[in-house]
Amino acid sequence: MSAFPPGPTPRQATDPAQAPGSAQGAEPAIQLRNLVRHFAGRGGVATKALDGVSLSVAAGEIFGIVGRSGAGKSTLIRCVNLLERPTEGEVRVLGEDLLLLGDRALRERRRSIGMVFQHFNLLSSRTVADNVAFPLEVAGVPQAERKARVAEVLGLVGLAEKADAYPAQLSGGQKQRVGIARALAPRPSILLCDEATSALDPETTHDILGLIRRLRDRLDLTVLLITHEMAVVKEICDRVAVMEAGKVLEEGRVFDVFTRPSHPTTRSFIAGTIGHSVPRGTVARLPAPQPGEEKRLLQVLFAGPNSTRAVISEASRRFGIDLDIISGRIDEIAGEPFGLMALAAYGPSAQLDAATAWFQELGLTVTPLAEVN
Amino acid sequence: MIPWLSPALQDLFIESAIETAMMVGGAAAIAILFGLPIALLLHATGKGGLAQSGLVNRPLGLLINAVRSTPFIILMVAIVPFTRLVAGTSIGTTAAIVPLALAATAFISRLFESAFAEVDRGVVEAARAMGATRMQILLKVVVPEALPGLIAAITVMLVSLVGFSAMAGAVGGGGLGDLGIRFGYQRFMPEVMASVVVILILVVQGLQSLGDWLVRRVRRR
Ligand SMILES: Nc1ncnc2c1ncn2[C@@H]1O[C@H](COP(=O)(O)OP(=O)(O)OP(=O)(O)O)[C@@H](O)[C@H]1O
Ligand SMILES: [Mg+2]
Repeated sequence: MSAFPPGPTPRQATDPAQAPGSAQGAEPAIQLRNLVRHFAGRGGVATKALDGVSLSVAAGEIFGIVGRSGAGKSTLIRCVNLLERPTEGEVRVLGEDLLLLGDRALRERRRSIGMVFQHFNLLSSRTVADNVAFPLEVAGVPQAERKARVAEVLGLVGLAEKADAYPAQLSGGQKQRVGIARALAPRPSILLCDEATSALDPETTHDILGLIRRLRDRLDLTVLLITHEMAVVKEICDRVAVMEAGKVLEEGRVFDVFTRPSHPTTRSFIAGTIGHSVPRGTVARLPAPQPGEEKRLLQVLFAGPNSTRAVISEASRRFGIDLDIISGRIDEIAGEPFGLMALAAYGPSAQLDAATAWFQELGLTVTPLAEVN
Repeated sequence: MIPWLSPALQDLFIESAIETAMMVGGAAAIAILFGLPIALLLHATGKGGLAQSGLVNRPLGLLINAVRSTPFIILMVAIVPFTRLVAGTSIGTTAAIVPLALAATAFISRLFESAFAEVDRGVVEAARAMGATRMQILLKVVVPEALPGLIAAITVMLVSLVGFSAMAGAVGGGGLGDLGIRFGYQRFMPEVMASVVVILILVVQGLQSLGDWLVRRVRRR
């Protein structure tokens, strides 16, 4: 697979000071600098759950963090409200350095940071309404005010009629709505979601993501969302960071990361979401390469203004290779269209390499199809 | 009440039943009163707890284990000076409540502690994220969420106390167990022995059913 050079614009973890998407001069809602978190492991071997992570989330955006199990995503999001204290680094939320706060002030700040969990974490001994009232109760909000606010947020998530039910009587999607209502009850400006939809079926996931987006628009929330599914990122995030082994591999606007991923891990993540799957039978029926030639199956992703047809015939001429279009389609991320093609390429290896490099130069993303199939 | 016993024995029976009820009830009330805070302290200071502290947890745990591992009959005798101090006497039903309460407190502290340990850590984490204080988490999350387990623990303790209270009869505490020994065994009155056993079985069954029913009522899962 080394025949495929990295994309033309490898993105580094963005310098927080000039993160795209953050308004000029405006302070980011969440700013993490060089976070390191060690966990003492067995036999004195420490796990570096976070290994120098810097991120900046602008007010009002939905920022996704995606990565495989064990990448450090939960540790990272738990650092934002200091459920987990980083070994090193800085956590600024709404312009304030949380690590400098005392217990009392920190508890106070946590009320402006709502959190939603994968397994909902509702109190089974309390009704829906009493669950939602919990953060208000803890903050010392008077009963009458509490009641009014609970009714209001339950209305917001569409669960007004379930106020007196117990969590055990609800479906997963309904439980997560309660979790969201509870997080929003104290009027936070930030919402943290740790795998909020991972325990839900695809349709319910879609509902909950839609709800989160509507709430963001309506309440001016900043959302930091963790997931291991690129589909979730594609559906609602404005920007995304890809994590692996405690590090951010790349970060950027969702459309850019999807259409021009710079890291192989990102590519394989994306492949499952927007990639092509060409039936095995079809691949088997493709003609064998001539002696001295090679057959490669490629996926080409193009987002720019290039007409693919011209590009393909040009490549054939220029490099003396044969390019067969197996399939193609148009998809959309955050309203921006992009095209996706599966190609069978025949020719001498050197020529195929050269053509691939040329495609990349034109801003097309080329990945081996075998990898995505 | 029990037609095959003489009126005098029937009176004795009722008296003994009241003594048993006093010993079990009194010891249970004291044990719950002291056991709940002790268990919360053990839970909070334990490993990964809200206020982890080996300095508090270890000595407390050791003390409780010491009480729990001392055979009840020895415990009763060993703490006679203490009993005299709190009850003003070392014999009789009231005096018997002291060692019973001590043993039951140690017993239920551990049972309560494991009921608290069963509480979903995620729920505690959610409460932390919502800015709850440690006290609020203990009282508003841990205790209510553990309620079914606490009730089950109380049931187990009550049943054990019924058995222990029979031994307390040996130091002049009276009660049904003592009645059974004195009349049924020492005076060869098998009908008394049988009645005591049947009644104790019914009492234990009743307590267990009541406990199970309550657990089912408060469990919202
Ligand atoms: N409390 C802890 N003690 C020890 N190690 C921990 C602890 N929490 C996390 N880790 C380790 O840190 C690494 C990152 O864990 P983390 O939970 O942040 O991953 P994640 O990306 O959220 O994974 P998942 O998708 O499975 O939730 C893992 O190797 C994990 O074993
Ligand atoms: Mg996780």
